[in-house]
Amino acid sequence: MEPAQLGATSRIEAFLPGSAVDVLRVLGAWTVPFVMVDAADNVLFWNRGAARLYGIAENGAVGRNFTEVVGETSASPHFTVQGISTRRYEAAHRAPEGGDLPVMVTRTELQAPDGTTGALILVTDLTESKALERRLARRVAQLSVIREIAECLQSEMSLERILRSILVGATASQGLRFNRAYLLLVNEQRRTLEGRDGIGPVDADEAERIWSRLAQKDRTLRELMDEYEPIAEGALSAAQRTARRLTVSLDDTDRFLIWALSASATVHVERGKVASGAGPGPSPLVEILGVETFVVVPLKAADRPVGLLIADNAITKRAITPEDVDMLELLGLQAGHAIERTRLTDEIAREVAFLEAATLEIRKNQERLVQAERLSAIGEMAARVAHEIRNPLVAIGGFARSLLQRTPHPDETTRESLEVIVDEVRRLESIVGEVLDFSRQVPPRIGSLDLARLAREAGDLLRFELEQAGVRWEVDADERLPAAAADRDQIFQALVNVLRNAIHAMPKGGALSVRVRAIAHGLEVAVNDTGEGMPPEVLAHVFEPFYTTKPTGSGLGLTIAAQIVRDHHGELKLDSREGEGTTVTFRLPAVEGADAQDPGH
Amino acid sequence: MPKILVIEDEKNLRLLYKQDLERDGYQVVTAATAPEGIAMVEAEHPDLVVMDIRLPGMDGLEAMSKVLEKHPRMPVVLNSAYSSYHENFMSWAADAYVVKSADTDELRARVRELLQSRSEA
Repeated sequence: MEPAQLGATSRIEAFLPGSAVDVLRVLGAWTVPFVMVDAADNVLFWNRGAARLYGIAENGAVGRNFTEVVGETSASPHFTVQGISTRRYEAAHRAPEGGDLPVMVTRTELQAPDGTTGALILVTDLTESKALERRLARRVAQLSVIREIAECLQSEMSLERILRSILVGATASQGLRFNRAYLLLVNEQRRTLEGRDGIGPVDADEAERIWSRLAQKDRTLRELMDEYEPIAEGALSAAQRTARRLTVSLDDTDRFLIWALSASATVHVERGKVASGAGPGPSPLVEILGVETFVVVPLKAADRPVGLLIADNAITKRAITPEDVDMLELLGLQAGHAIERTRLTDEIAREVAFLEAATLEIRKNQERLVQAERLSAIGEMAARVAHEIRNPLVAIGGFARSLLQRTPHPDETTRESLEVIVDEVRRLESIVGEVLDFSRQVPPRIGSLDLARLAREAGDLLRFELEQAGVRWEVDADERLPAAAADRDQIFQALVNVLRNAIHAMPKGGALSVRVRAIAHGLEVAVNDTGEGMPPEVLAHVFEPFYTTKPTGSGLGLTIAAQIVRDHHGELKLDSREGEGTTVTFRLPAVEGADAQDPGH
Repeated sequence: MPKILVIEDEKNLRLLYKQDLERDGYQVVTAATAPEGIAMVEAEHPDLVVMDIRLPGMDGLEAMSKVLEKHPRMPVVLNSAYSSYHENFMSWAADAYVVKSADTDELRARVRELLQSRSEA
């Protein structure tokens, strides 16, 4: 034994009876760190436990000052246990490999019968409990982060912003601290799992730029989330482009992502392989993401997977810990609910819009019905009046003509007067005739009809009026036209009415064309003039009966034409530009099974 | 001289048709109602009948079919307020169909044509 130690032992013996020294020798082998010091705090005894804890052998410690040996740099205020003889405090000592060693020191003051003083020191290693404490604190912090993210998601209404917020939460230093994250959502309509958004740097350089910029300012998660702009289609970030490339069809069940979605559980991919070993290989994904290790977490709403959240640490290569995964799963849960909420909101909005449209349609139909009833009442009355005045008109006009023809040499005044009567009666008769025809609509007698030929016949009938107005006339028909299934007389009348209107719109001449062409299951007739056209306020009324802008019109021509086309289950459309002309278009069904025929046959 | 029977309930129109047709050189007899007209066909043996489709007491078409039952070759000109009357197939039996008008040119032209083709037959 070294003299110093012998000295020390004799000093220890001063405190303890001989048998107790034997006990001390036993304690020397004890693994609990155990030290004895003298009044000057110099080490008298240093057991094996202490040697192991501090990495210092007995001979390196005995005789030296305890505080120096253990490198005590900071200590909590001492507190006393069991009267004044024992005190306990936490302190940081020097660890064998350098750095702090958290410990609890229990120090019991001793006094020998000769008055010599010293102390027994028990040291408890706190490294593990400190670590636990830190983990607990981190856990609490993480959960509060998740809560903060959840709160942000709750208050967010737009799906795009929710997706952004999830990604910010996953990657922010105030959040889950992943390097990069991508979101994919199920699109039921397109039957795809769509890569919707992504966040994170492409490489270490960009990471440095972004992270140092973010570190400059202390922002809350909410502020970070608010900072992000909506996705600009023209200027997608690299991560967003990557996200888009992840899109796969829901029916590709042999693809890794679809498998992960249906598995509805977290999947780790490590060094390019699924950690659990199951499922299709993730290699296409590894290639797109440019990273071999990542986590895929399902986004669930009401037990139904609505999407996937992928996160990696591609830049820092930091290992993804079970805690990280826990957090990501929690985030996925929150995200799923938030996404489902917007989907339901959208659905409700769509339903509301649909109902509103339906209500509007019902109201419109009611208005149409009221209008139709009103018109039919007016029409009935007009027909009665027309019928009553028809015969007197015929008599007046007839005798005026008769007088004109019977008087061989009437004087100028008489002739003129009679001619006025004849003219006016002719005008009234045409109006009365139209009113009567209008009031006596009969269902069409559908036959097989050569529309091109009918159009030419209508032109022939109007030849005189066309020449008078100086209007060029042309029928342009497809080479092979099917026969129309329509009432010849009615369609002829509709055509003549439309053509007459067109001629009247071109008092100074112009061009009038009828184009007849074959369309799917039918034919289309377009009557085009180069006339005056109509202002919108006239256009709004043209289909109303008795509405006319012409001094001699009954206001029924177009109404009748439209009614006839309607009776043929078609619609007469009118397109007019003031000063440019008017085009009237209507469609008729073709005779079923009819082959196209040459025009004029 | 061909004889024409005009069946027309309006007194003034009867007069108009009578004058106009007489000026064209026909003998004209008139009736105001359908039964009267049917009786006159038997009594007067006209060469042609001009009749209104709407007559009081009996429909013009019905009157026409009664006339045609006994005299199937009797030319009949229907005179109507409407430009189309084809929803009743009976009107197809008429030899001519003329819209009532102050302008009697068409009526007179049809009468002339029918009588001409009759005399040629």
